[in-house]
Amino acid sequence: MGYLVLKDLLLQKKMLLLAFLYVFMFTFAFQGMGEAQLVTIISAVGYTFVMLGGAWEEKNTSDVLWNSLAVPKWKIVGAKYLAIPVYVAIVILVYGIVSPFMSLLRVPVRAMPLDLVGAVLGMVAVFIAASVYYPVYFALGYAKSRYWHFIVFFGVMISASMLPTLFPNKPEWIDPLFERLPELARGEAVPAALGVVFVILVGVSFFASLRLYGRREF
Amino acid sequence: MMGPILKLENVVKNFTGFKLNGISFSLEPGYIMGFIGANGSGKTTTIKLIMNLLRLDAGEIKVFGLDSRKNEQEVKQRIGFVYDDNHFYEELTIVQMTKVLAPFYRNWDWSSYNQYVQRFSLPAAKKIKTFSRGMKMKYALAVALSHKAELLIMDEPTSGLDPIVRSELLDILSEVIQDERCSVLFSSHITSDLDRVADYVTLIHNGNILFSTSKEDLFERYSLIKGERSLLNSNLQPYLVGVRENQFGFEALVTDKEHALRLTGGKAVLERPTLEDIMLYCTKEQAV
Repeated sequence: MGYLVLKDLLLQKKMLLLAFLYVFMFTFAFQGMGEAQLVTIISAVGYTFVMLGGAWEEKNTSDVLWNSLAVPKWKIVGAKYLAIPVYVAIVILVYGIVSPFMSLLRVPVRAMPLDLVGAVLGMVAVFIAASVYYPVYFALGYAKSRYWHFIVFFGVMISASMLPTLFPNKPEWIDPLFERLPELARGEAVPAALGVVFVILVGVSFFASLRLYGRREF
Repeated sequence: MMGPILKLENVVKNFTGFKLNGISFSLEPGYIMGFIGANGSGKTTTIKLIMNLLRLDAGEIKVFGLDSRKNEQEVKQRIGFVYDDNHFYEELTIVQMTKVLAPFYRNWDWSSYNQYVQRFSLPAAKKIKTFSRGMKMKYALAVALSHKAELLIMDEPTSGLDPIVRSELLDILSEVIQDERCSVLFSSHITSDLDRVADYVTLIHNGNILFSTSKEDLFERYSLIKGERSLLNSNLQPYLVGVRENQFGFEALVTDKEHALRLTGGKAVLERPTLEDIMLYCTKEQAV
C-alpha cells in the first residue's frame, strides 16, 4: 500500500511546489482570522492534495490498471486514506518554512506561528473532509463527484475557521492527552470520546468507500 | 494444470442496447487464441469480464481452473494484460511506474523486465506521455511478460500501430508460445495479424459467438469460391455462407468446398480464404 501512496506523491510533484505558493497566498488571504488561520491553511491545502490525487487517477483512467493488477480493492481505497497524513505533514512542513521566511523578509502579513494544536486540528479537518468526500469519489469517480468536492472544500474552509473558536484558550487537557495517548483515564472522557467519534467517522467512511468502490465497473 | 486455461460458460452481460448473450468458449494451455469481431461486437466487454472489470450477470468464467471472481487475486497474479488504451500514469517515467507496480506481483522478474526494456529501446528517464503509441504498447508488454504470467490477455494491442511494430509484437508472441510459458487471448479486428500467429479463432458478432475453433478446422470448413454469375444456382445455396456479386462474376464463402465445386461443374475456382474473408461473410450472413 505504501507504493500506492508513493505513486500519489510522485504524481503530485508539481503540487509540492505549488503548496509553497498556496500557503503564501492563503497566509495573506486569511491573516484576519487569528488562530483559525493555521487550521484553515492546513485544511485547505491538505484537502487540495486529496482532491488532486483523485484528478490524476481520472486523467489516466488508472482504475482500469489497478483493478487489472493483483491489488485488493481495500489497498486501493486504503492508500488514499493513508496518504492524508502524508499530505498534511507536507503542508505543515511547508508552512513551517514559509511562515518564518515571511517574517525574515519582513513581509507585512500576520502569520500565526506553527503549533501542535493547530496542526492537529488541521489534520482532523482534512480527515473529516476527506471522509465526507471519498465515499462519493469512490462511488462515482472524480469527474462525477467534482460538485460534491467543491461543496466539501468550501465547507472545510468555513468549518476549519470555526474550529479554534471551540477552544479559545489552550485547554488544560491537551498536553497530558498527547503525553498519555492512547490511555483514556477518567476526567478525559470528552477528548477520548471525540477521538473515538473521529476514528468511527473515518472507519465508516473507509468501509463505505470500499463497499461503493467494489460495486463499480470500469 | 489440467483442462483449459480459460473457460467461459454461458456468460451474460446486459447493457442498454447491447447484450453479451450467453457466450461460451475455452482456451487450452500453450496456444494463441485470436478473438475477432467488428467494432462493438463485444470483444472488449468479454475481456473486461474476464479481468473482473465488469460484473457478470450470469454464467461462469474460470481461469486456471479457478473461479475468476472468488479467486480474483490469485488469478490476476498469473495474468499479464495489454490493453488498447494506455492506463499507465503519463506523468511518470517507466522507472517510476514500474517501481510502483512491480511489488504487487509476487513473481516479478527484474532481469526479464530489464531485458525487454533494452530490447524495445524504451527510454528510462522520459515521461510516458512522450512515448509514441507503439512505445506505450511495448512498455505494457514488457510489464505483462515480466512476472511469469501464464495467460496473456491482449485487447487490440496492435490497433493504430505501424506494420514494423506490429510484426515485432507478433514475433514476441510467437517466442513466448514456443517456450510454452504462456497462453494468449488476443482480441483484434486486424485479422491479418491473427492469420499469422493464432492457433484458435473465436468470432464474436453482436454479443454472440459465431464459432470458436482451431484455425486449421476453420480453413478446412470454409473456402472461397469464385466464378461467373451463371454458375450460381439454387443447388449451391445450402453451402453458401455469403456471396458477393458484381458484373464480372461472384465470390462466395462456402462450406463443403468439394461438393460446392462439383455443383459448378468444376468451372469455379476455389481459394483459401483469409480470416478477414471468413469474418466478413459470417457476420454479413448474421446481419441478413
